Amino acid sequence: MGLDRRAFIGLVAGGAVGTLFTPIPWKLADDAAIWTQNWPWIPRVPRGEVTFATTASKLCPSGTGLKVALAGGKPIMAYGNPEHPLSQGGVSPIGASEVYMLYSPSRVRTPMRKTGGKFEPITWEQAQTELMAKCKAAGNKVACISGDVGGTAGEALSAFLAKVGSAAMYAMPGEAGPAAAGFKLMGGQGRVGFDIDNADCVLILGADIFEGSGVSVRNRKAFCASHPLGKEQSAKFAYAGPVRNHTGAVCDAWIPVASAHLGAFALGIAWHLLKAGATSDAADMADFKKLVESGYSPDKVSKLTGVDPEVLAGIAKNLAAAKAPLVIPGSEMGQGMGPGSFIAGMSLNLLMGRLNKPGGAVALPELPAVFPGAETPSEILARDIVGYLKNVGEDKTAAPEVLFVYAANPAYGLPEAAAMAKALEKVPFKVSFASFMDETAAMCDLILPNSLTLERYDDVATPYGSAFCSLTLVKPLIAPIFDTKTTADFILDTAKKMNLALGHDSLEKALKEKAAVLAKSDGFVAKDVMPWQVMAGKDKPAYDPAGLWKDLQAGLAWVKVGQVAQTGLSFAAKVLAALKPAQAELSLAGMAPQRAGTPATGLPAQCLTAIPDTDLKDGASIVRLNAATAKKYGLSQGSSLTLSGAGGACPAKAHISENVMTGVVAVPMGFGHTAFDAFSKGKGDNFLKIMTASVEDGTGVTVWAGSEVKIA
Amino acid sequence: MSAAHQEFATKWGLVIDIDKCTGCGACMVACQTENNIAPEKDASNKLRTLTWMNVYELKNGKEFPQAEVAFLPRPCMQCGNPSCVPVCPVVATDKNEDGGIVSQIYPRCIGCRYCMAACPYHSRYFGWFDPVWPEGMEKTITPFTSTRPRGVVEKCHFCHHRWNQAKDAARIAGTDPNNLPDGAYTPACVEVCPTGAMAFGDLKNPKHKVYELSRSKYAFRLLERLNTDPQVYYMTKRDWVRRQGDNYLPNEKA
Amino acid sequence: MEERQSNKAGGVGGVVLLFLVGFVGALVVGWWVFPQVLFSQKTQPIRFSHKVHAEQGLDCESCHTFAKTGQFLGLPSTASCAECHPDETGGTTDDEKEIDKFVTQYAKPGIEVPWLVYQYQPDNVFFSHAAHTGFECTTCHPDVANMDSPPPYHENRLSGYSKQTMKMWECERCHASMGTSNACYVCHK
Repeated sequence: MGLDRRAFIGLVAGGAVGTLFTPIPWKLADDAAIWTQNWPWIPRVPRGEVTFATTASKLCPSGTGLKVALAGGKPIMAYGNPEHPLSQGGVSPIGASEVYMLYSPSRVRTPMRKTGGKFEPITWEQAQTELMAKCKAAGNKVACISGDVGGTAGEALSAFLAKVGSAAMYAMPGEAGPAAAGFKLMGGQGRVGFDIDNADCVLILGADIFEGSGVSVRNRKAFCASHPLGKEQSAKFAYAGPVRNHTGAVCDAWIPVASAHLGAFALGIAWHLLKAGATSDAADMADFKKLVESGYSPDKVSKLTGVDPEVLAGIAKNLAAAKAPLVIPGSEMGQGMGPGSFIAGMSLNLLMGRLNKPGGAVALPELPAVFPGAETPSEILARDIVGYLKNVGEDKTAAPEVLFVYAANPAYGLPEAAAMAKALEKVPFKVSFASFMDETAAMCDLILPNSLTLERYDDVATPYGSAFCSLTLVKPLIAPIFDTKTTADFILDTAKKMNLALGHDSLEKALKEKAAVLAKSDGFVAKDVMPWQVMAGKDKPAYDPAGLWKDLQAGLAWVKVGQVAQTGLSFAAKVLAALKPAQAELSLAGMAPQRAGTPATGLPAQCLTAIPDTDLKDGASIVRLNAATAKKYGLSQGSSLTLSGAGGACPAKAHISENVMTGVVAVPMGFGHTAFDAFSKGKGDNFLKIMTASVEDGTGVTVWAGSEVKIA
Repeated sequence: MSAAHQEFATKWGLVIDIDKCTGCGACMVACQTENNIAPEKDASNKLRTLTWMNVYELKNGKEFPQAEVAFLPRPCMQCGNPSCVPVCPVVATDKNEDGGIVSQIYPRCIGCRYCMAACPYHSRYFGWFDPVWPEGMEKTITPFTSTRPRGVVEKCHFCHHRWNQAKDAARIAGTDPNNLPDGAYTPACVEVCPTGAMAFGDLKNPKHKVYELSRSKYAFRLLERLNTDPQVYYMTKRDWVRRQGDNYLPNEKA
Repeated sequence: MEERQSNKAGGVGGVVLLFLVGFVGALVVGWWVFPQVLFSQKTQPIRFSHKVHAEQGLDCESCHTFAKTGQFLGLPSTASCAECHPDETGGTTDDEKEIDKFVTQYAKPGIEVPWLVYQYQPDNVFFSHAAHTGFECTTCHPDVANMDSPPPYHENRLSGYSKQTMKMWECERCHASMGTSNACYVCHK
């Protein structure tokens, strides 16, 4: 029986019809549709139990406690820890970056040595041998620039420097530095903090307290508490500064004052307070009064700052009428202010008798050190790093033989970048402990990558601005992903091998020791009762000192409400008398929102969408000026311009914003990285490089807030 | 799929106090990581970014020094009468569940973007790129929201998974999953907001904070006169901010 | 005159016969061959006997537990299995050898067993076990409590899912019959 054409067609037709009565076409169509839902290049969601663990953020300067979500034991997301006093569930964009930044493309994955201009991976042993040899040769010519001097890890570094006989420990600039230096000049003891929680009338001088300044999440929670949803607010906030920034946006009033004039503005308010009879038992009260009355009368201040005399009087009246007024000095970009400005602002707190009072400025004791020989954070903070590096660059000070850079990125984060880079280049052997390949790490001879927050033991100790002492434990939630080490552990080990033993084998042990020491002091664990409630008069809760380490491991904060009684505190009238407010035709104001990261983190990958296209657009920085300023320089919305100062220039595009005062260009900070990864590189410019570092009269400290700029 | 007004026993709602928002962007970042939005290298082109929660800067239009600024966080409004739902040709988006959250089913979406054109709030986003995380960072993907390929539309869902989690917790604890206490279900943006500018709850439950807040004289909704009946309320004491919530004539009262 | 060529297969009847051969052949291929081709068969890494454990008086919830958060934890972790099986038995029966395999390969090195899950749902499905505790486990899951060996796992070569993964229409049918909402977000995420 052969198969002819017709029979074949019959067979095929039978097969075709038969197929329709099978699952083949229907199942294939269905499965093919399902197949298209799971492309292999699109990641799948994890399975496994979602659990939570606690730690605290080291990348975020506001020191928030974190609640980290883990899926199947792996960290997936960071939230604020609702039980932590510096967070209360709130978290900044930097704090939230702690999880995904573990996998940042810019992470340094292994120790590296630069040979012939290129980095090569080496082992930790090789790195340690080389470092020990260099340190031994350098003797006491070792310096350190640290972005974290408050904690126990900073203490270990400081103790190491002390052991080799060096006092060249410097902190990256912030507001804590000028505050420490200023308070020292006033004869104050302790570290200054601000009790925003219990204040009912807050005058903010420049400080971006709800964004980049101090314990900003805590500050925002305090604002939240005094502004309950749907109810009347119980505290008033006024912001004085060159830009109505994130802090200014929610304050009841904005008083436009150039950064360089904030000190004079404060003394103008002091004039009114003095006139109303305010006084203080400070030794130089008479000098201070004489100075203010002669030099800061309403018309003089008004002429200098452009603030209406009536506005000035109104603020003074509000402060005087308030039950718990508070003045917070600072700089709109969180750095570059001088101790003189700080003293001027603090003089108002002194005049109103607001020191060491609930809702006032407080002087906090230093936490006990567990590494003998370590300096206190205040001693380190009071040093002028920019002045030091400038001198190194100009050969006025000898460059150190070895420089440690810890949690800092001085090649990017300091003013007059060109001068700073020149100074850094004079150091023959530079060691970076950076977790990310930042601008400074790229210049260094050795990179010894620090494990990130979620991979290491560390602590957060009384961040600047906090009104109470605190210690929060940072503990590893995941094993180091790359070949990194906790810097403090590495330093302790290296010191031991150099016969310079610092007293502890590991940071974890040092932290346990610290907890044991703190347990004996007069603090408590913040849980049901918060420290600001105790400041306001609530009873300090009882707690079990023996259980402190366990409580710390559970993510709770040890806190202490204790003020250092002041003897011999003065207005530093001599310093104030020497202050000469600079007059600039056009000055810079920095806007440093947390979503742009810090110099040490670069731009956190997930924050890029939160950066508005009025800060950055198509790779170009956008600067803000108001219509009057723009008109003067022939600019309009979108026009290109070049800002120049300090021997450098930055191209930018103009954005007209009426929330910037006349004569000021507001520039977004945190951009213009040349290192890190594709998320940070090639985006805008770093305006720090055109900020002129000048010397503040009276204090001799370098300042760069509100520095003069030219439009080309 | 219906153009008719939808009403449910539970009405999840968000009340945002504009006067308390500093514009820090913590809500946007929390939203992105919670809901598996991949980071973008050039996020300055806002026509290509996915921002389920977006913070807008508002200005009062006056010159310095009378100028003022405010920040307005904008999630999906979960409209009672959603414009996006009736235009969807494939029923990929619907408002059919108790609670009133407008659903978006990614595998069902054909990417026609009618819903985006229909939404008066710009709450919907089209995925122009496949979600690709830098190597290793995909380990931080959460199990909460499924990942989306390019070519589909996505939007805020009030962290709906957190409602599911809260209901499951209630079921295991033996309490009523349909009568959750205030605070049992909170979207990520509300949880992380440092100034507490947002409150979330059942707009119909007098025991929930939002019940009172949404009835406050300071409360308003965006483009209310379109009758979209949003489940997101805003609060402000500033008249100029309120006036930006709708298209008012110069002499008209907001 | 020409000789008319007759159909060798027997005219119309032959076509019908071959049509039927094709038809039946297709049915055989479609219903018998196709499923075998479409699904690959895999066996569990450990021959876990649910039967033995059930006979010890353990019920499903003893190992397949809920967290306090209401999350269903699904499969027990290696650590929880190792609570009862911390050490090798050293025995020679098949069961004992299988226990020893678990102990040496997974419990001691602390590795999670890559169990094959018969009913994993797609990523975009949120299935709440807590909401379904009123049902017997066997309403949806195979009655493994009576099985000495876990049933073979059939993986769809095209879609990648298990053969036993419940389809959306099955979920919807039950929801409809129970009067439960079939709104999209009841099950999707």
